[in-house]
Amino acid sequence: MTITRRVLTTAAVLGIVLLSGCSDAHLPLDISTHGKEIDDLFWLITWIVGIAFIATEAILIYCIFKFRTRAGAKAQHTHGHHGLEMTWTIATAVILIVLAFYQLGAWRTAKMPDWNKLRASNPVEIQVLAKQFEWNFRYKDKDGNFTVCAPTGELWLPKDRNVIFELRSADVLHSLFLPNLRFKQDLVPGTRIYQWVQATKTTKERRQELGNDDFDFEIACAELCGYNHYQMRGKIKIVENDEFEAKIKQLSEFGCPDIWDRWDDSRSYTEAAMKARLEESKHHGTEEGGD
Amino acid sequence: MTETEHQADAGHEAPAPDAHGHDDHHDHHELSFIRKYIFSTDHKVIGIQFLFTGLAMFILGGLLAIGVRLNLASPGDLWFGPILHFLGLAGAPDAAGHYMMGGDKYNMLFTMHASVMIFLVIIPLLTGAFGNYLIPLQIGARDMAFPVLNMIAYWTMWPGIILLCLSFIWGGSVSGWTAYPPLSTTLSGASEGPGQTLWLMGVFTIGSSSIMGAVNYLTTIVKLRAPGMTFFRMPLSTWALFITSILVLLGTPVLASALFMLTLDRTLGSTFFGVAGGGQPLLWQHLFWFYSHPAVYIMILPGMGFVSDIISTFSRKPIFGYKPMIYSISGIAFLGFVVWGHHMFQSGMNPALGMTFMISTTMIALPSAIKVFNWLSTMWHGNLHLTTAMWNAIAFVSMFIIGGLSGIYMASTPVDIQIHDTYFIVGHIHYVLFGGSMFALFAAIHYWFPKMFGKMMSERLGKIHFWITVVAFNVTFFPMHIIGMAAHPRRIAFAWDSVNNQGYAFLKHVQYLNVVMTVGALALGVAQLVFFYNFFHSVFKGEKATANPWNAATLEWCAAESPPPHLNWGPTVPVVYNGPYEYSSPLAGDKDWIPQTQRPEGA
Repeated sequence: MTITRRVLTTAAVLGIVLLSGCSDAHLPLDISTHGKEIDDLFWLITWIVGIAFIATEAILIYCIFKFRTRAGAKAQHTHGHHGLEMTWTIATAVILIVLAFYQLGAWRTAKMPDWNKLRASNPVEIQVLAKQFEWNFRYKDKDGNFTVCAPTGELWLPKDRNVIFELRSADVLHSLFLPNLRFKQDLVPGTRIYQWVQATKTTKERRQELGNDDFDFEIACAELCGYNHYQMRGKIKIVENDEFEAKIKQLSEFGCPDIWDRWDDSRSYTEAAMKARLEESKHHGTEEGGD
Repeated sequence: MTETEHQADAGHEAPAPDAHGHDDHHDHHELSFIRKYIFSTDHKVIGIQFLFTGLAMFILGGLLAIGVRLNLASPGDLWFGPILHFLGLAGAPDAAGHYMMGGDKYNMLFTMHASVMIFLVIIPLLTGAFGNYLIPLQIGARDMAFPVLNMIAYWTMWPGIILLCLSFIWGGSVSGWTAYPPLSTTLSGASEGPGQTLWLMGVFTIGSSSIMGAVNYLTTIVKLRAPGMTFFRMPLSTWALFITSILVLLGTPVLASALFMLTLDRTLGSTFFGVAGGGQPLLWQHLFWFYSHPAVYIMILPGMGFVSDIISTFSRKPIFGYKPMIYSISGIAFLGFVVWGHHMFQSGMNPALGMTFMISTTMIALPSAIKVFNWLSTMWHGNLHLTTAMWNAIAFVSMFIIGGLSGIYMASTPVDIQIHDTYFIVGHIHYVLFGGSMFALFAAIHYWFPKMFGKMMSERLGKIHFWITVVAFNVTFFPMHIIGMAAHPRRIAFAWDSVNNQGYAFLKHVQYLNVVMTVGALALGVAQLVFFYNFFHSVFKGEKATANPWNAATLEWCAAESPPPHLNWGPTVPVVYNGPYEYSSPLAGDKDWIPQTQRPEGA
């Protein structure tokens, strides 16, 4: 096959593959207040790298066609060009430095917010206890104590109200990933980490938009935490604030699972957890075809 | 044969008298087969030993990847279910006759895939095989500065390989190649067992082999260059290996310490990383990534060097911007030590560090970009000979552009909130490690094979391998960016199991891409059979190679036979007068190249 045919065939196959996937090349629906900054950055970077990609690959393909050897062909003998080197170095450096500094604001909003302001905004405080392999969420009762537990794996959030998470792990590293809320935070045993988020749409609204009554926003664990890491899923139930308060009141009639005994014990629970895991692992081995 | 004779240091233009006491001893005793080919101290033999071992491990690493991809494509009813069951990777079929894999086996597969590819394939092939083979030949030395240490470095790989393979018996390591505690200090494999500990000891052993190699390469390059071979006349392959060796020397001991601490936590009850005893899980991450980030540059820089040599040779044109290329390699290496935190943006470390590491990480794109511009400029107005080696080198540039550009997203800490631990990262990794390093290795193997074995590989088979590989590679790895954007996490056994209707509902719409990628991966695997056939068939039955089939200007081509004899140069060490890339020079007369050893007119 000639080069032309080879390169064009390759480009065609790749093009078909890439284009077929491209209709799915979008970020998940963003229903957070801080997510637009992140998504805008994503697409800004896409423009920049897209232009760089097209330019460099085009030059590469052009070179292959235009400068391939022919009878009598001779290459230009040059060791470089100082001016060109300086130009592309400085231009690239400027683009990168400006981009790097431009991005700082979005990071600060997401991870280094003004906590005083947040706490003064009547937020909902939620305790998050991650354990192999489930998410546990606890809310404040009418006296302001954390005694109200949601069903395992269900995160209840009010719409249009700040939420402050206190994140702890009962055993190993986990990571709370809420794709539609542009939220991700690792949970580290022995530490407590505070993070915030605010949702702008309810589950019901989204179900109506999709015409799908079974839809739920989902939770994933984004840090490998053991053999059932992929099962450590959850659902986010976003409701209007008054419905939220009513739900908390309803949930307060039920108790909290024993796992919450580990919440306060941030040092020794990990040792206890280790022993418990080792005990448990002696019985594991009959899972879904693993052994 | 164990000492190399003294050679003139850098800067001497006049050829030094050549002491060749060795050759006198050499005639008096012939080495046994074992001393010549098994426990050899000849850098060429050791390089080829690393090459064969690395290629064998490539097959193992590839098969592990196929295991990973099979579950992602067909979790509810595995393709090749009976075979996977036979291998112990899938359980007995359920009532409906479906084979399925457990989470533990899945975690083992991707952990061992990465561990094998990084520690037993890419680093040994780039630094062990080509570092060994090329450095003395390209600088005009007769062997490495420490030939016995060199031999030990190769043979140290084997206890490491055995320890890693032994871990398979106990379910392997299941905590990712990143081995984060507390997961890596508690469970191991499908049950309690030493799998993780054996893994730790294996990696530690292999790391020590790397360090020995780095010491050798640095000393050899500094002390044993031939007369006239100044630093700025060394080919970029040697420069890249030189700087890579600095990374290995400075970074690997930190990994070794971390592995040692983790092993103590697992075996002796220490709590470096255990909260119960006042330890800190994040400490592991800092120590691990302090090495493992430079490690990724260890895995790309030599390839960049090889590709520079190859593109220059087959463009019949000097490398554009030789010194900027060297400064870029140095820039990547230096910056590589101050960006490790970008692996930890979401880890719970102080978010202020997210700002500092974002700046340094964004900047590291700069030297890589400069290198891409220089490769393109080398080809511009070149006289391109599109051999298999050249095609693979071109693919390196093309795929590295994609891999490097995708890194810009990851450098952005806020964007990383969304894409961290998703397939966007996995796509980036594979574009730079396969699209980059592996294509560089294919290029290097095709290019230097005649020198190593005195035979030519088949260009026809080489091109068939290349074209199938480059297409299958993109089919396998490009969609990872798409599913990553869709928030498909990494290290999950599957996204959506349509047979049992379970998984992540929000990923149902991209599950078809998991199937596409697995088909691509299977094609990619089969394509490598063409390469292996070409390689082994050519070793035995390849067309005999001349000393310099490529008309290349560097010393290994213009001053040594194919293959070079023991001690490389015959009675006299070459003397160097020119730079490494004098192609199409107006001073060359009828030829389109000037060898490094050609005395200039009137000199």
